[in-house]
Amino acid sequence: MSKAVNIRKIHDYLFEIPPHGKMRVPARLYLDERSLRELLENQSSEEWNALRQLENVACLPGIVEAAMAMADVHPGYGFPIGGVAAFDPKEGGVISVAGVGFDINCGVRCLRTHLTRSDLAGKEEKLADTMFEVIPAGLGSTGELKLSPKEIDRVLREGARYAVRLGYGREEDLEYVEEHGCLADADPSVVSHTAKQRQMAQVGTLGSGNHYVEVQVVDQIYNARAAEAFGLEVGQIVIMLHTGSRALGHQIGTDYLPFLEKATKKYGIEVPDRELVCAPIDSPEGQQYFRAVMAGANCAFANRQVLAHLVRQAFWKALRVPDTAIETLYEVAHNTVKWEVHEVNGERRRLLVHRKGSTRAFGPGRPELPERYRAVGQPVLVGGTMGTASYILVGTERGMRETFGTALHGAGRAKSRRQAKRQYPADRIIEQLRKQGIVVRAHGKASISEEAPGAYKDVEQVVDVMCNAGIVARVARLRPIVCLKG
Amino acid sequence: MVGHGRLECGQDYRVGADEHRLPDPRLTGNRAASTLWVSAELGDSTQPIRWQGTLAVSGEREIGGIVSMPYEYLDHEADIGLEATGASLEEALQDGVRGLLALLVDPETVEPRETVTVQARGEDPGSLYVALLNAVLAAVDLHRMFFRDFELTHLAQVDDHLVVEGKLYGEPIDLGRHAVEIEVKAATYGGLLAERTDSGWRLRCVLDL
Repeated sequence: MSKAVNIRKIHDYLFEIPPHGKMRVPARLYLDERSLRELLENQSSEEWNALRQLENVACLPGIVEAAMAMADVHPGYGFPIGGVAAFDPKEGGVISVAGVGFDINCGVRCLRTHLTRSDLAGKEEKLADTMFEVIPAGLGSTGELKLSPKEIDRVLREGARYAVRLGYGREEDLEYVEEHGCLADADPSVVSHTAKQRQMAQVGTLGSGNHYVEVQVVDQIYNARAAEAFGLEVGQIVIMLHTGSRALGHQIGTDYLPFLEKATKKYGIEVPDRELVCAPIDSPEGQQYFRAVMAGANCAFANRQVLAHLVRQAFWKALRVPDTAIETLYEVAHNTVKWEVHEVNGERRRLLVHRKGSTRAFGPGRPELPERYRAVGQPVLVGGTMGTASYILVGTERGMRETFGTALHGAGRAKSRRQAKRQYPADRIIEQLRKQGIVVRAHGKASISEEAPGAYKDVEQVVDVMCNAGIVARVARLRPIVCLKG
Repeated sequence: MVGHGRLECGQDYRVGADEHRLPDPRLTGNRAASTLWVSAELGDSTQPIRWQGTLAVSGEREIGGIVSMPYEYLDHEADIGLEATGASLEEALQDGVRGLLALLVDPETVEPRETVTVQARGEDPGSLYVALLNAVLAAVDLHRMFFRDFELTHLAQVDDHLVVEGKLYGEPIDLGRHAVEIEVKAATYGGLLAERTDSGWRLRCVLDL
């Protein structure tokens, strides 16, 4: 389908597929010519093709303006990863499982420290070993926090706040977490017993796959004003942690997939891909799924709050760095659905924005941002790979106008996990990274090969595209020093 | 004409030109390896066997040929496709679960000491496949166990639904001994396919990793 489709160039960093077939709105992709060509040529399968997935999203009822993909776009299930779509309930807009994903509210927290690169010199191995020991990661790991069913309900209702109440981290962390780490619409009563039971031993665990904790150094500053607001300077140590809602989120997705499939039939919604099952936002089914997703999101907030505490513990244990020397810079989520007010063609509208593998990237002045950052815009955390840079960017006015205040979430995968496994033996990657001065620890054998830097797109190019398009602006580049994988 | 048979442990069988012997389950610790379901060309004992089981005889897949893997992992940039084939829907479902188990942890490192029953239901074979895989993922967390093998024990149509039941063989998680591979978040409707083929059934979906 996509091969025959007419792709129109809007400008050097934006392409558009005009509506055709059952598409209600255009599909737009933030790419340059090279990355568009790569996307078209290097599809692993016709069955899961990112362009087609984006076109499918453009067919959903009530979608506003366009189905959009950021520069890190690659195939997902239902939605492409790197996708954003906003829906208006007044126009029959829907809520969809695929627009959120199974790892509900998966995201990244960045912690800034009072340490500089020289404070870590010669201590990288010790820090890596301690992180490996203190932070539960990988399939089958359990958290130190064993919760009762009642306590799980509080996690689902109160999110990161409850973790702070239990002694994990500090009140001031919450100021710098999206939604202050707690979504009020969460309703634990619409989350299954199975989901809660699966989660009991998993609060405060990292998971596996692309989840990680990485110690990094700021190696370049691009925007002095924003860097000052974010508290960043060259040579400073920061820590990124990437994880989500763990088994609870996975089970909510699993439970609601057949539930929403029934709703799709009930409301006569035609979906081009079965994974895109959805319900009108204002329907009882849509509302129920929304409240379940909010509960899942709170679980992810709590999980990252506990993990941030464990990171602080590891730094204390390994290096005697006090807790207070590690502060939350910001936390963003990239598998979400949220109510937001956006101006569309001069009209302010309340829209339900789905972000699947894309990050909220609000420009300056938005009331949702912490006061400290409001004048410069929202920090946008972009995870690179174990061997390449990560970025801290900032949201812009233009992003607010064009992408519902949304930007990329990472480098974006270019090679399949199987290809990566064949091409990058773990030992070779560890050795290569060691030569670059990067210490890696992983629980699963597969993690290192599958997450090898070569399996991803070039993060520099991907960030370039989004910055050149004006959707975000560079603030700081970070280089990895120690990486813990699941 | 293709028929079905079973091999007992220690018995020789052939795939293409290669001779194989079904391993002794005491050596591999694999309960399911004590029998291997095969489909063989009837009437000609020299014909190679089209095998369907948990033992990987060859990594090669000959489309339309003799050797076919009971399950196959398909390339996907972010996740992975899991395709299972079988002479019947039961077999395809069973092989799909085996494919999932082998992704999570090296089955060779898991002893089949305990049994856990899983159930799933779906409106059609496709949603049943996804529901069954998700039930298996839930069982790992709920029982804190890894599994070596799966045996489908029951498949039926109940009212307007298909229901399936099976047994997982494994043991409590021991991270010191079990060679963990990767966590699978969920089976999705992405790339979902459930179709009858000339030789039985093919099931496929994308697993979220």
